[in-house]
Amino acid sequence: MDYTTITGKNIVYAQLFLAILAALLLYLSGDYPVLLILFIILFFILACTLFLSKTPLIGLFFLVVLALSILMLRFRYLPWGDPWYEYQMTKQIILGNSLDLLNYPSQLPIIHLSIAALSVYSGMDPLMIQKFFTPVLSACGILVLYVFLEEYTTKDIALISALFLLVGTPYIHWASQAVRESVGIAFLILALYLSYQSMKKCRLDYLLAALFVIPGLVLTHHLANLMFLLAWLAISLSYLYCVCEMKSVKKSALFALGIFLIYIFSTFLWWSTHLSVQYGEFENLMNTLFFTPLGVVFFIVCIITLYILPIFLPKILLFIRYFLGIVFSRKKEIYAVTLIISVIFAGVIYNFVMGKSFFITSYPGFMLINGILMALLAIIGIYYCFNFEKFPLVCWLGTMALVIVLTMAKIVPFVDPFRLLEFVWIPLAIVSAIGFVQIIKIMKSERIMVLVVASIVTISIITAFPSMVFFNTSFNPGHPLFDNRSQVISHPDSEILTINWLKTSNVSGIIETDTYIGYAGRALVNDDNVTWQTYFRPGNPDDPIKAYYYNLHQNYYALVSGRMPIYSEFGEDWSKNKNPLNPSEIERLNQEHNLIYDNGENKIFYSNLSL
Amino acid sequence: MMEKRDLVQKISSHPVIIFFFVIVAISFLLPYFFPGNGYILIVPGVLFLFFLPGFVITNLIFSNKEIPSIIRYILFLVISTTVLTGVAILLTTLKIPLFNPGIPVISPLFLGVLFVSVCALMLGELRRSPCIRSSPSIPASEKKFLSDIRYFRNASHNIDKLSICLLALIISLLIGGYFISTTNQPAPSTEFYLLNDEGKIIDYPLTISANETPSVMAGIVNYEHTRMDYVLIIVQDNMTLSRQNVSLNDNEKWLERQSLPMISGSNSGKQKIEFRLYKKDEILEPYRRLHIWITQQ
Repeated sequence: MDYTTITGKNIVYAQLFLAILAALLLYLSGDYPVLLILFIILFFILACTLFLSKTPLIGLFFLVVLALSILMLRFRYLPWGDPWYEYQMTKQIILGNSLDLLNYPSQLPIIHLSIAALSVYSGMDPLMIQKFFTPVLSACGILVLYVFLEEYTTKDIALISALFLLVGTPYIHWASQAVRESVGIAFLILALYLSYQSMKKCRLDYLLAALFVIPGLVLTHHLANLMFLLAWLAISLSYLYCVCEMKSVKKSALFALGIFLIYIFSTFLWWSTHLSVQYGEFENLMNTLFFTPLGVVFFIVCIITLYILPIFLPKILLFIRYFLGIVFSRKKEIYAVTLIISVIFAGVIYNFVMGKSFFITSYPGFMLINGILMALLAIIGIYYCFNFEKFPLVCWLGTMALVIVLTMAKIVPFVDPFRLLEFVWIPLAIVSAIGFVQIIKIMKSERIMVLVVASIVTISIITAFPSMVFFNTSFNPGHPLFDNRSQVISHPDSEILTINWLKTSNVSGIIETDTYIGYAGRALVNDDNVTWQTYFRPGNPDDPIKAYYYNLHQNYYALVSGRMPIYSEFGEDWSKNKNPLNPSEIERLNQEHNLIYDNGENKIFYSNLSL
Repeated sequence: MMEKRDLVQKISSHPVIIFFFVIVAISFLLPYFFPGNGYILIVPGVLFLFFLPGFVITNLIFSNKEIPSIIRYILFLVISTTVLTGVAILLTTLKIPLFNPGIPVISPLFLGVLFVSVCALMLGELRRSPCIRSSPSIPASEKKFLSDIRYFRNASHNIDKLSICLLALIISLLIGGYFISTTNQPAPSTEFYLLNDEGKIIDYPLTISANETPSVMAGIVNYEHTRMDYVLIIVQDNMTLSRQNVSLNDNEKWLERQSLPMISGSNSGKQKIEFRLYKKDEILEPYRRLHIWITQQ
């Protein structure tokens, strides 16, 4: 790392100053929303400064940590619902003092255990550690991507790719939440980097490092883990068959096989013993694919064969490369076919994102700005990737896109295809950056490039989050910026006050509320004597399945917040049209239950179920 | 004397060992002096848990090969988390508790991490040993790490006026940020609630016998960030059962037993008893409102 070039201009200090000032403004913007304008200006300047330094890694680190901390600085408590689940798991490790399945059902302990260990050591609240430690871990992914690309492309492509990935709506949505995904993506990028280096350079030290990082990925997040498998198969096989020098192909194949075996061994060892549901789903998928109950064995044998083939039959590579050479010589025709496929894929994804498929969403149009821009740039960039050198990148992008389209079209069943989008954004950001750099080459102006990139980054970061984050309001229905998810992105003080009142009152029984309060409630109360029922609407005992919950307890509570008559979600409502509590339901609660708590925003109703 | 000098020379030729044991010493001693002080212990905690194991293992793996500095530092962090989790999985398999609630720093988990780190350090030193390698020189990985440290040390000597100004601004921002974050208050609110006779949120007097006078405890907590004057009125069928003035300072709590003498003539069937809390200067509309349904048998 050449530090002299950057410290000479004091740019690192300036970048750190800008980042801290921006963070402070963002933190204060809860009380003074006007400060957000200053934050946005500083963010834009910080993005511009990255292009001024010869080694922009340190500045990039500041910018990434700042961007990934937006939700944590903007809201006092954890956002959404999933981060509360992670907090609950961390607390269960601390309280249960083990990773035993009965005590710790998640069984993906990297992030939970790290926070728990630091919390026990320092005595600090795990919530604070989760809020501010996880974004730093997440930031590693972007830095690795930069280093990875800087080595094989140019500094500009590397930096622009890193920035495009950072502000990609699906990526920043997950990376900034302080959840398992946030760290899983970082581990995935690092594992890919080490694996690729090991295969390309035939270096044992990279393989040994991967021996630590891949099991780490397995223990971080199951979906990121599975996406690594697909990405690695796409990259390594396309590299071996199409790019690798013939003299080193045998050695590279052995290293690639080594990585695959490390992955398969660590994944199956952990999944079969601790994540039986995920393992069962994987097994079913393989059995379906191979039409045999030994699908997993067939899959492993097939993949090993693919890695061994170049070792024993290198002539196959010559044939494939000859064929690929012919294909690349017809670049324009291939590009036309790619465009047609892209349009079909885009249609499926657009249909899904607009909530016209099996998933009901209501994203405002402006949130799609980043996605549309990336898609357009990628369409330009992909043309410049039709060559042997960049073929692994095309295969990586194609594999990820295919998986998403298959799940969105419901050909491969998957509960929430949105969770796959952040994984396609990694190769998409690289291809988009390649396209962007090609456009800039035509314009021949570096200044314009810096300003345009900084503008894209700033606009994308504003549009990536629901309007509550940067506009401090959720707007009214019908407004182009209206986004009802603004209602649940943060948990207000009054909500946490209510949950804490239940906790200090040693509540015991069934508590009915909606999904988002339920997440926070489970994490904060975390008591086996309490059942948080968030699947069915509160106050209605007629539901037959509810009888099961009602029979478990004597005391019934319904926690109703001021938001619920406007926006509430129960059970599977996240995939359906939202149906808030109606006045008759609230009247029923008032008439049939005792109102025992009121803090203005939240009310708690009580009934004794044995009476 | 000569032996002592040899020992000092030997130790100083192993800067990584010194560095390692300094961090270990700080990490295990500081919690005794500042138990539970998160702001002080977070730094040695991060160094011990998320730097040290990765540091020695990365240096062991990449002892003679170059890798980009930033990848090295990220590996310190990532390998450390994997080691930490690996030790925890092993302890769970052996049914050994992870933490020692009495003296957290002597937890089996932390001792396990220390053990793995010491083993990796010894292996690294063994690889450097002249018996195994012809040259006992410091490996490339450690050289790079030490040169990075030396750079930062030298940089602090060579800063110009602009650097000093920027650093001063950064430090003042950090201090300002700390004070702002510690003084930032939650949104104002008043909690109004009912507990049963024993101060619990179960077994409210929902069914009573004919001549029984039920009672509950009414509680108010003032989080309005200012002194508040409240009026508590208990109502049955629009008839006032009791009226009480309550004045509370910020963060002050009030909890008092309330007898509910049911009004004669309406003491059969299900009765709604309302608890209305008013702000003293806004008596027209209740500020908070609660109710319980009591059935007299």
